[in-house]
Amino acid sequence: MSTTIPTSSDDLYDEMFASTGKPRNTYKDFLEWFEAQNPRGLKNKHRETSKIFRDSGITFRSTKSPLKDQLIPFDWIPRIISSSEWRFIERGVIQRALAINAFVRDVYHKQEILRAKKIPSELVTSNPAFLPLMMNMSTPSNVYAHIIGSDIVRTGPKQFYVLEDNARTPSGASYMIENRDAMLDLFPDLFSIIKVKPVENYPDLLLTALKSVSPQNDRKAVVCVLTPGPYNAAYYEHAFLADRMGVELVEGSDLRVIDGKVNIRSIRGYTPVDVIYRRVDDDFLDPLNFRRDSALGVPGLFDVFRAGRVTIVNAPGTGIADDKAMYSYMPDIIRFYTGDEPIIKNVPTWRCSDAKDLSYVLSNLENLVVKEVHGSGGYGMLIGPHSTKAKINEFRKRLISSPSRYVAQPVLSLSTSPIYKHGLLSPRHVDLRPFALVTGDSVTVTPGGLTRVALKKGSLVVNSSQGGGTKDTWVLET
Amino acid sequence: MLGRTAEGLFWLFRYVERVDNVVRLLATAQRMAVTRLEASESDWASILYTVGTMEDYLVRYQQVTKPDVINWLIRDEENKSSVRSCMSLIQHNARRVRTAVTEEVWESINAGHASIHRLINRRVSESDLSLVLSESRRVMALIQGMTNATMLRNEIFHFISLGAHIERADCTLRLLDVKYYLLLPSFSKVGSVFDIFQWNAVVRSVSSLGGLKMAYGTEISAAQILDYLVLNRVMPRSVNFCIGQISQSLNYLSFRGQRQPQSLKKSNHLLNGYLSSTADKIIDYGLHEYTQKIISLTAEISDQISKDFRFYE
Amino acid sequence: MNLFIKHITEYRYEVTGVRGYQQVRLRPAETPFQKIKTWNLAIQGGENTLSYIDHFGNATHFIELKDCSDSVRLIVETEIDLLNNSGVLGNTSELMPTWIFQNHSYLTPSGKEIRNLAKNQFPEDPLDFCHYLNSKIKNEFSYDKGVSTVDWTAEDCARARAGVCQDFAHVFIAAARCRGLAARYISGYLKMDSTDQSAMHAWAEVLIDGLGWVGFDPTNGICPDDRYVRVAVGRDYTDASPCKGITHSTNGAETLRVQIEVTQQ
Repeated sequence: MSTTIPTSSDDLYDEMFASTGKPRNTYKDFLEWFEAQNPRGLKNKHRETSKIFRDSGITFRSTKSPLKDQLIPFDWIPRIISSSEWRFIERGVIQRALAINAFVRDVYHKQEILRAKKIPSELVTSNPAFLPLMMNMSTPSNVYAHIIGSDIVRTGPKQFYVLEDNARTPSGASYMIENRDAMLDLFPDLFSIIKVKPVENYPDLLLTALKSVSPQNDRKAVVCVLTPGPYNAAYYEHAFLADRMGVELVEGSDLRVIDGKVNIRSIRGYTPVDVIYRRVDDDFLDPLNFRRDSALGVPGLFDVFRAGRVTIVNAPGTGIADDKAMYSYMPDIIRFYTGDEPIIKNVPTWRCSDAKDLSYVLSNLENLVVKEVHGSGGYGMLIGPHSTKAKINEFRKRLISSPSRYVAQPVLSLSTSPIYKHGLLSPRHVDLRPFALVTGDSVTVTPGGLTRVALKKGSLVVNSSQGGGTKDTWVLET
Repeated sequence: MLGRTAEGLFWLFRYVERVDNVVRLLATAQRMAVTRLEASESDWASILYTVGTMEDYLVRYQQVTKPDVINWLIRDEENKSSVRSCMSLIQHNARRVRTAVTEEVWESINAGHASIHRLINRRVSESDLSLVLSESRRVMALIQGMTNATMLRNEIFHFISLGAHIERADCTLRLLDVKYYLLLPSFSKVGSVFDIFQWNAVVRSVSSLGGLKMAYGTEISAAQILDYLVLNRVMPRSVNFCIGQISQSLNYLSFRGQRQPQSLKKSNHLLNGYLSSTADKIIDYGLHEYTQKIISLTAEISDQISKDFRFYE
Repeated sequence: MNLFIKHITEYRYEVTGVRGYQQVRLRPAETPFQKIKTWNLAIQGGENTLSYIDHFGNATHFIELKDCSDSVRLIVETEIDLLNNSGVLGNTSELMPTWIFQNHSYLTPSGKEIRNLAKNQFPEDPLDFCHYLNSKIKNEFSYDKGVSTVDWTAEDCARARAGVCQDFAHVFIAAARCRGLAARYISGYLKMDSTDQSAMHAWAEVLIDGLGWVGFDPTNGICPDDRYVRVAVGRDYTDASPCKGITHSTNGAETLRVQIEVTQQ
């Protein structure tokens, strides 16, 4: 069932066209090119894009059909951001990445933020993502969340919000790179007209960042990517990144602790590895220290980590910064660790664990988005304006029975960016996931990131697992 | 290279050869059935013996009939060596070693799997059989062809070669093991023409008959057929050729400055100790004992390869 | 009191070539009341390849089993000087925040029986309550090796009113936490009348305002004195267990034999 959000065009910010119908500056050059193209030629290019992605096997597996490789739809109309808009976003993402790392470090050491009562202690003490095993664990350069993907939305010319932070195993960087590759392939002439900041060097930056946190901090550090295997939803990305970085893609059974180091079982014998970029969840990393039944992990991995002889990226336990309840305190967290106000605002959030907030939410369900605190991927969510009365009532019951599991936010009218539909430009809601790489010395944010687009007209759900697509994101050089 | 990747490559191509072999046996039996006056269930039964699956077949079907044998060998999931089962394993292993093979090889496997799957989704009738067999042969040939044409001759290629040649040697040996009695002097009276028809069929199922004639001329004796299948150095399915390829690959894979892998010692021993003989000497030794001995030595080599290169631990 | 402790742990496997690892927490902590004179860990059938301090501050040794062995034997010899502190450890600098010990843990959940033990009409003062609970468990629970299994929780023991020292410690800790107190599990040695024992001892510590951490041994109904050697600390047995291991053996059982000699010098 599809409904459009009941807002006027004044409230809806389209990134390509102003409300007067005139193109915005960022898209002037692109539109000039677009209008000069032969429509049939464009239709052919459009068909070519699906072929490129199908042939390279860029796939995803949704929980609905876990055995089928699905293509994530790609729309070739670039989402263009000006360099000044980008500078603003970049500063905000860097600030968040630094604050998140300072927070994680503090939570696993002195917990000063709790002593200073800046956030309710239950957020940590009752948090299932808190890992007692990580207490007093020091890491190279004190970095815990090396790779962070913060999801950003826009509602106006200068209005940006962070929707959520992903500090565990954020995914999507491979699509960012593949999208750019596809565009360079299909429209090389466009890139000579419009100067766009590069993203293809992400794997090099990633590899450098990983090597920099090796226990011995040396250039000869051995890095590997640990994947749950080919039947994992994001396997394609694991293989892609390992391949582009030129490092081994391993599964738990390829690794073994020998002589106090983690080793890779190669045909030549066992060779030690220094940094593991793991895309396996905390709980499954090590059957000796975590879930006993995990076949995906390496027994003794955490012991080697505790003894400082291997680095795990992102460190276990970073999920403490990841959930939606903690998100609502991010502004306080940023203030505490940086002394500054957040550069990019949080979406106003009502915490249903609070009685006053809960009563507001219950009386306004039709106008709110309600999400599970420990959920992900857009599931377990209610989008008030898009739901039937029956669904709203059912959700109301759920809320009343376990309110602390939920938070609520206003329905944001996300900015729109056009997709190519039947030869025309048709607006769809988008968000942005820039990728921050944190090393001991600096935070690097790859220009742009992954733009996710809700392909259904009027839909706000951009997740690929629920039918969303992606776009190439262009940050203009000037 | 990960031990697991080597294992995946090795087994992927063992399964490709396995499918190819089953399909060839079926094609030969089909041709024999068509060109004979009486149908012979024993032809179909002998395929089951050759691929070593008679016992399991009887548990499922109790009686040897042509339609059941066809479906057992092509579609039955209970049969771990059926075309369907092997195709699944081929795809499964291909996924695991995706980044080690070229795009062309990957696509030939992917597309081939889809095409065969479509054909064998329903019960294969006798009229469908030719199509299924020729499509399967085409798919396997494409995979093998792409591999030969596009893969660099490095470690990856050599593990592929090891898998393919172990399986080929094994297939030729098993065929010989079932049909050996046809080659014994006691079977054909001295001076008489032995069962050419049977042997043409056997050779055909191993490779083209043309190769045999090219190598030995038109007057073929039992000893020559034995030589062709076991000792010939240039026939790609002869046991000697296959083990020779295995030794070559193991040589390539030997690490400089380290001891020769056990598997190479074993394959060289097999080459020098058993395969540089003559057909007559083999008959004297005892053809059946000889075949059984080589089968077990080949299996040992396969096992040793998985240990030497850490397939599992 | 001056004690010499010899602790032999042996795991035997039915097949050789068992691959495995052990996390061993057998080195006593240094406190103002116990000083280690000598400590030695000898291993047969394995090798100690890593040593570190874990998240609770326990000295931990990581052992890799040798491929060719069918058994691994750990021989720990400790010479230690003990002072009697009447169980009061005091305020120590802690690696773990107090709330960790106030939360219920896997083996110390709060169930019906536990809540009954912690009910409000019993002594209100935390210290009095602990002494009361200590005696209650000693008097009303029966020591029985046969009833519990290694994954028994405090609730299982409270229901059965029987168990071993590990279970009694869990019951004590769970009940104390029901009262909002911070309580932790101590694994250690106890000098008894006979020198030979087949298991380590377990008791509890509770954080009492003004006193700091105070020890309680519910198996014996007393507070630890200079016969008690504190080895490892945790929320419950899983954190502080002397040996925590994992083996890759698809068949064959493993048998465990423990021999402990505690002699006064």
